[in-house]
Amino acid sequence: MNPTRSALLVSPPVYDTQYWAHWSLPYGLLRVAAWLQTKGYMLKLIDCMEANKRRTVPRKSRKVRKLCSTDSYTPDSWQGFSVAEDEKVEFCFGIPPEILKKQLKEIQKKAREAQESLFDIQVFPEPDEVWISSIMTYWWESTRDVITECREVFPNAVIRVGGIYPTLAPEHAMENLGLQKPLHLQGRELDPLDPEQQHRDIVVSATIPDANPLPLCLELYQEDGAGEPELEEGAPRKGLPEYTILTTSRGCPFKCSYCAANVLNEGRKVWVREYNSAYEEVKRRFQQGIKEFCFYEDNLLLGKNNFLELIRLIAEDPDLKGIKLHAPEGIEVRLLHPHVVQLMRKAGFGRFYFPLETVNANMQKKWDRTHTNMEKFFYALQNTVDTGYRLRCQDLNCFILFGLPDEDLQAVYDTVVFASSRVGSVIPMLFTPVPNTPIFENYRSYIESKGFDLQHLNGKLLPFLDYNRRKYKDLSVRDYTALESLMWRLNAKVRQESFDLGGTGRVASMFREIFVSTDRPGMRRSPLFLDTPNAEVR
Amino acid sequence: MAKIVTTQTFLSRHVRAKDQILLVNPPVEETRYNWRRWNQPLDLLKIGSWLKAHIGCGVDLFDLMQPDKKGKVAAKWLPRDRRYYSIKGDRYPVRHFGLPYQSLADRLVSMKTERSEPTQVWVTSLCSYWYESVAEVCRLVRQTLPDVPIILLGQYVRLMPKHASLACAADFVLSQPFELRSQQGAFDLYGKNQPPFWALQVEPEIAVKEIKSAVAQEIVDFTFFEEDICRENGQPLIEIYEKTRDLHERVRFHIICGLHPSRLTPALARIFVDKKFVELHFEEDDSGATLDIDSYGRARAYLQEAGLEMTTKHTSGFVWLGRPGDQMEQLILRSFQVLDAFGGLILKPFSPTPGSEEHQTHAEYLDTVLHREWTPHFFPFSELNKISRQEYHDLYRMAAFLNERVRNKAFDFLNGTLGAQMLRKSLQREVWKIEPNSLRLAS
Repeated sequence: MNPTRSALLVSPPVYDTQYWAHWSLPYGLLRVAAWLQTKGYMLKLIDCMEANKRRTVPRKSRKVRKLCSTDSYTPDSWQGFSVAEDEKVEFCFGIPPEILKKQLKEIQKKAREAQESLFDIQVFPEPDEVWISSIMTYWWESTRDVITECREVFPNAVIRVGGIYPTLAPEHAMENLGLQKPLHLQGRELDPLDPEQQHRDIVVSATIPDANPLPLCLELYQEDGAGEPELEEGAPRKGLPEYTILTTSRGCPFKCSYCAANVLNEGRKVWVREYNSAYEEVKRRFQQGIKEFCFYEDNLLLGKNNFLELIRLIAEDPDLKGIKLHAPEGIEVRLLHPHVVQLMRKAGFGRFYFPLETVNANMQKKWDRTHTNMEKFFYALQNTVDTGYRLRCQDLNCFILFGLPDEDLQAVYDTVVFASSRVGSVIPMLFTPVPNTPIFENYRSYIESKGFDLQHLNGKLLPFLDYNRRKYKDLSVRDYTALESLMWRLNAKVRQESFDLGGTGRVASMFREIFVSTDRPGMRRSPLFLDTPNAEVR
Repeated sequence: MAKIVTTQTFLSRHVRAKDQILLVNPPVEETRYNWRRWNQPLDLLKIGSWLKAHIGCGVDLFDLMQPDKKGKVAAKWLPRDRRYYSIKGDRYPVRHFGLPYQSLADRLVSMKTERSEPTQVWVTSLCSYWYESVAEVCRLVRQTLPDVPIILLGQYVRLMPKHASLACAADFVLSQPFELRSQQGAFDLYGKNQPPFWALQVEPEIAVKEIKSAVAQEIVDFTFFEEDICRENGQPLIEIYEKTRDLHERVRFHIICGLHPSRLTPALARIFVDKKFVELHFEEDDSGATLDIDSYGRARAYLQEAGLEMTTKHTSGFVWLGRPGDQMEQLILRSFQVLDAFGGLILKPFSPTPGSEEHQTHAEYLDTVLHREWTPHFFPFSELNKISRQEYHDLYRMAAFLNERVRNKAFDFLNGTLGAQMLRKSLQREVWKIEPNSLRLAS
């Protein structure tokens, strides 16, 4: 044990064009915190993405990014500024680096005051180590900026960067984050007590096996745990978060060409957290007032038996009445058997998110999604409906993947119409190529020819727009904007139901008839449509 | 049973300078009331002003529909036993919009305790199918202040005086309105707790005074309660705009009714481009059985010529839903056309005005419909039109889909994108019919 060692944990802000802060808890970092506690560390957390009670984080315009390009600029003034069609505003979500720096200085000031005080005051000292979690590869720039600020305020502290980005792109992290002669270690090789490691910056890839089964150290959010940031209007409260994240399994035995789960988990093995330990965590947190639990898994249900034991305990525990369970990430549809869905409903899962991705069998095959198909999707859908989940009201939702290189746009529209009609809620997922995945490697030459760094590969910036012009000559930003907007619009609800484009009723039938006919020369029914290029394909 | 008299008669015979009159705007019980923030008792405010000026009596106001500073009106589900209203198998949840009845009871009791009770209580009314909350207010006033005369006014009692005299525990029903267009609204009756907007009429002399007075109190939002705000080629409205536009940079006009595409002029279009007009909602204009496409096209052209970008303000057109003779195909086509013209669409459910042509034409049919069920949200002509309520709800869903704003724009038919063709192709191929045993789509 090394009782004197101290670590400042930082979850960086996010630079992106959109961000949904609903489940933004830095669960990896909080698990590492629990692990460091077992090593006797003194800890402090700054979560730049800590959401307020409305589950939002502040945002500040940062720059304008041109889509499918390396170009960006900052306008002279943001007031009254509007972007062109092929641009998006990139925001800094959460606490920006300059504010973070002030908080770091405040920590430093308090630490120094305590050091000089005649009294024995328990204050977090200037840290020996700064641990930074870094999630999406295309968010790496905020990690770099956080490191710069930490280094400036705490020059003697060594930096550790872990998470998805340093796992998938360790060389990039070693070169670009401003670290000093960093070591690159796998999580399993980390030893906080190793004198050599103690004096080096480290890029950590993959998970720390001993940390995986530990509950998140949420106490760092409490007043005497975090201390920072300053409370402002709408700022986060000082107490435990309103929800927590559970990870009861890691890894996936399948190898979809766009997915990095195999790299993140060092192979295809599925690790499972023993259900009793997860159950104890749920009980303890529930008693502390946390009612919402969100499962973050690479592929929920792959550790099915263990998961079922956990939710059986939850479902049967009268003390957990009112618990809300969420699984917004991947779920293995072929394992959604009737008894599984029934138990999930009983335990408190209110919604399902199906990774439909596409209805096109050729695309499925191309992406190596060999373990799933439409039959399995229908199986899951039927079982959820039979269990009482309702269609068209967002009880059931389908992820739809688009923006991929060589995609079949007609298949995307087919998938949208199918999912909207049969399920009622679609969630658009713009594709981001992830380093170390087969699809990334397949298109590496295009990525390099465009001069793209990781931040340019954010799916929202349409990195494959130019590539796909090889197939669709006139493809433009508008085509993707229209497609994504269509998906959001189809989710609009009245009396808790969305419109069914494929419905058998008269409204849907006539809607289709009129909508389709407005595209046929000589069939236009409204003179109004004549003077606009409505429904024209270039 | 209440006595039915004209307003003129009542004022001349029953109101004296020593009277203390409490004006009441009742709450509303309804399944939906999306535009409730615009419920302002302009008739009460005008008559209150007249009473003070011409009779010299004391006037007080209790507006149960007053929105808060953010424009929010309280809404609460009805008690469990009255929460749902069923019509031929369709269940509609019902809510109480506005302050609870108890707040009025408390106010009356407090007036009584302080010996400042009114000598008369005037209760206004709006839609005739909302009469039950008017009756409830009357009952409550009668119970709390049994000796105080209750006077009913407003649209419901004007259109259905006999019904009102039977349904409501009032003493007088004012069957004919009193001309009050040249009267300013007595917004001072709200005291320091002013509503977030003032309703006006297109009477330049009065409206300009009211806007000046409102702006002095930091009220900057205005709407017009008119059937035709473009009357006299829009000159009165232009005059109001020109005389008030420099009063305050944040003055905002909300054109929520009375704007007809056929009545829009180039001069009006030019003032509507000003950012002071934050929303423009066009009424539906027919030409026989179809939409008056020429007027819509012309209105849009005027707005475009004036430089209006539809995305910069909330612009939309109404489409009537539930009128007698509705044709499904026409409703959908009209929705497309209106959306195409103004970039926004609002379905407006129809209710026959008592005594109107629609009422008289379909009197026999309407006699079979309880008056409460004349609310447009219950689609009283559903059976006549052979369009089920479920189908009307589907039309709402379709409109919600079309109207959902993403990046400030409603559906534009995938205008000019590859999707325009692809979506049609998906629909033509009926891709929703994919079944587990037909997994591959024809390429």
